[in-house]
Amino acid sequence: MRQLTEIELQEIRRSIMRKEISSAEILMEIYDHYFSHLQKFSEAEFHDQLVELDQKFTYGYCHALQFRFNKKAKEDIHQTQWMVVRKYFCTSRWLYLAGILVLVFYVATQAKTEKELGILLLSPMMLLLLANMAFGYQNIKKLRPIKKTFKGIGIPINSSLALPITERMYFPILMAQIFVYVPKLIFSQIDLPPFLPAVSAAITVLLTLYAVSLLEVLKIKSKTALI
Amino acid sequence: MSNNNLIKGSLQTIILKLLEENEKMYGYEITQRVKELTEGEIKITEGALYPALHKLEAEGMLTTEIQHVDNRVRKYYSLTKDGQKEVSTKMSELQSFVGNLQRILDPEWKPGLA
Repeated sequence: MRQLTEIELQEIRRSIMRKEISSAEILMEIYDHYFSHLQKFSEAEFHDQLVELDQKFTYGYCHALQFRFNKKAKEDIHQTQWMVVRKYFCTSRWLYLAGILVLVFYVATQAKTEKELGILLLSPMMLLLLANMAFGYQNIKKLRPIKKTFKGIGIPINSSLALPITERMYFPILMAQIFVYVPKLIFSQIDLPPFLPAVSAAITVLLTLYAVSLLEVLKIKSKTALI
Repeated sequence: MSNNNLIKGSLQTIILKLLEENEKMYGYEITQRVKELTEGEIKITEGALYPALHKLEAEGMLTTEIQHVDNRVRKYYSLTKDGQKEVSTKMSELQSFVGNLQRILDPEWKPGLA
């Protein structure tokens, strides 16, 4: 095993960059494979081995690998969040859930105006917003070495797991926009029904459950993935 | 002789078995270990290895760990609890298949006979 020269490293990077891979996970795995393999050969054999690797890791193969990995990442995030949500309903945790329910319903019944109920509904979204900011910072930090290695690749490098998480973080905001603005567009005057506090409390509980479970997914995945 | 088609069906078992014995491994290391153990007779192609690793990871059989090595990031794979259970299942399935295959190829063959 030898130390690769800077020129050789540049050649490896150029070769991988030509494949236009945007998934950080796939990029790092292929780069490590190239690196580990080429380290075992002498300088004279370097080019032949690099060509051989390029024939194995073709553009089509890399993109198929990336496509499947992205698809599985999406499914993985969905399954992990669902698993976390189910855990909240198990015997050891139901007390916490009951506590949140009681607290939110109590706050909702105390709310007197539409604005106060709005603030209640916004609270889990604020949590998601803060989590999104922290997630963005952590993501930048983790991807920095890969982005530095492949500087000038010409396409944005992102973690395959980051996109489904970001989508999930924006989902409640999108739903809120639909629930708040669409009825206003259709009906010019909406009278607030008396059961509105209860409805708001139920939505807040669901949103809190969603936000907390997503945070837990982030915590689980950040231990092992590039997020 | 190209034995890629024969290996295809048992690739997951090979990966799981190697990880059971080696705690954690990275992609290239797996290909080299197989080559070393079989004295170059079996070569796991990269085309089959990474999709298999990603599939096992998505199924919850493997977990990953990111480590910084020589200014690059390396992804290590290791078995989860489900993966550890799956090794014995997959191994007995494969052994039973090999036994049955042996019976087809040599009807005189009895298990336990060399």
